[in-house]
Amino acid sequence: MIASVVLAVAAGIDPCAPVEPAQKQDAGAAQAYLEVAEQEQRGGALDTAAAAYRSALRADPQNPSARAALAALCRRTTAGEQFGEALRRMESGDRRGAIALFERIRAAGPDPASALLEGICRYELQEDQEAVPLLREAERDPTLAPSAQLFLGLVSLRQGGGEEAARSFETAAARDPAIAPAATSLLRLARREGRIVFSLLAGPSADSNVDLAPDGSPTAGGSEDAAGTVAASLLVRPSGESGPFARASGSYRKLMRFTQFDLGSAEAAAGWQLGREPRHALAEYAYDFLGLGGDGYLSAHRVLVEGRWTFRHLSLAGSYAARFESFLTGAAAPYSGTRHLAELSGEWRFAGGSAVGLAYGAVRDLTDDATLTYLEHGPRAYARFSAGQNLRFAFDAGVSRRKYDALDPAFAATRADTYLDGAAAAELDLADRWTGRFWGAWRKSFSNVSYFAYTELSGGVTLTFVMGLL
Amino acid sequence: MRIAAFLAVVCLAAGALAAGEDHLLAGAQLFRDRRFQEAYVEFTVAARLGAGDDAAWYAAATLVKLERPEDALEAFAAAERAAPSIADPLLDYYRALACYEARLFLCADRLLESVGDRTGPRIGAQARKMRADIAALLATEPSADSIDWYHAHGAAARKEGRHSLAALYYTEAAALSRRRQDRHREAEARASLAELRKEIAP
Repeated sequence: MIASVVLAVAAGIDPCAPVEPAQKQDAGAAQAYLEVAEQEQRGGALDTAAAAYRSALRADPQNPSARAALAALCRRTTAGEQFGEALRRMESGDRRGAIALFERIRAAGPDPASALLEGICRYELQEDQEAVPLLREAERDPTLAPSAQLFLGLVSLRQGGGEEAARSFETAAARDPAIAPAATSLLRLARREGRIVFSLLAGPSADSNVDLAPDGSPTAGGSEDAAGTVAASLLVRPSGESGPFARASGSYRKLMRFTQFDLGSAEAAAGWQLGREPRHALAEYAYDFLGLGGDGYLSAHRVLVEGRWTFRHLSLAGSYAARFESFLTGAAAPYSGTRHLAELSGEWRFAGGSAVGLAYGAVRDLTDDATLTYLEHGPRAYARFSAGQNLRFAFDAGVSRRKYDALDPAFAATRADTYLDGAAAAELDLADRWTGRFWGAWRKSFSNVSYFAYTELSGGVTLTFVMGLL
Repeated sequence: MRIAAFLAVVCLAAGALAAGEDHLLAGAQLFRDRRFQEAYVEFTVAARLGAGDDAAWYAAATLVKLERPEDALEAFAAAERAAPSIADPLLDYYRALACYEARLFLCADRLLESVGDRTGPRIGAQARKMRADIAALLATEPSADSIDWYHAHGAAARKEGRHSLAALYYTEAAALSRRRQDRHREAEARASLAELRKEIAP
């Protein structure tokens, strides 16, 4: 609109260009130019300041003030051009190139803006050690302090320092309303992260077909039931997300009808994670113990390795676990053996924590009783969406095929099943450390042995409390 | 362009250049060449060296070309205080542009109304188009948020000691308030204007 009226914008003045002296020197005019230049520079109008300094120097080529000021402006302009180029490189993803230019600018003198942006580049390259001093330098500039604190918080969060991260996010949110929403959202995350993380979970659920057999097979006469579950876990990772960790957890599921199948579980695990969530490798050992109806039911040792690699929006992952299971009751003892589980997945990640993905999983259960040995595999698709800062949705759908190795004499058939699965969940952050979860799941089982064909519906509500310490 | 032509005629007719008038002429030539930074410097130096009150008006118009509308409005107000008689339709047009760029639409409309076709058909057409744009912008009742925006800018300008600019923002806020049934913050705008007058008064 106004562009049609204001026909052109003036070209910039180059303070570095050589100045040709005027034919007639005029010290009085030079002084007037100098005053205008200084006034413009004070007002931040560097182009007109440069024009005035150049005119002053033209009128009086020996004027030391004009010469020095123009030289300073020249340096500043050069730095400004480099800054613009560095910003362009940063935005195009060339963080190394941007860092090189930011360093060149900072070599000429302190520049908090360059320090901040270089710190952000370093953070994005996971070079936290180099990022921190840069962000601290930027933090000293009041106008940049909130942004610097936000990224210092992110560094702390990545290193597992939940409390320190929370402090940074709180300060950033209080000082700059523009970044307050992001900082508040991160604050919630920070309060759930830490070198020690403690969580509690409780909630009711209902299931049309409660798993009463180790391989999930249904029980004659139906097994619909309602349950109440409580669980607690403690995670200790002294070096933060990357490094060694130990975990202990326990849960208890109380059924309304099949009380003899009330299930208690305890798990202890230890392992090492190299790298952070987007790109990491992990190895873990765990010991599981399950009690059923008050008696020991399962003792299992598990080893797990997994890896994830993320490049921009694409994240690929693979995992393998072997579980050495010893069932402790006579009825379940034939299910003892070694269960191998593997999965490959790829997902496309969006801003705000949303993602869509595909996975292919396989389970090989090598049981002591050959008739119970099977191979199950199949694909699944999943998605998770963030609807605002406090609400998330997750969806999962898959199909898998299970084929048993040997003829089951009881059914005079070699059992083969196909499962269709679907699940949906909604998570609502009720407070910084409290989350409500509503979930529902559906399974349709097809089997060449009609006894194993069934439909299962389940759902529940859970309330989770998570607290990060240190 | 017209400024440059006007200056050339005036100076050549005078036959000799008084103090600073060479800078005024140089500014006009640079303005014609669209070298607005240098033109602004020359006009400002001309004003400092006593080339006449009109130099300050031309410097203000050049600030519009430099897309510094708030600085231009302050400069126009200062020039008007020093030499109110210099104002002409073309300078009013530039001043209206500065108002428009600073989102002072009622201020721009008031000035454009007086410009009419007195500056020639091309600028007259542009002035009419701007007035039509402003009428469309102000067709609906102004929101409380937009009035708050003017109060915020008025307060900021006042804090920086830019009293003329602050007065323009509060004037706009008061006029917009009158376009609402609840007269949102009108009394506050008027009170601020009264205080500003006291601060400006010698």
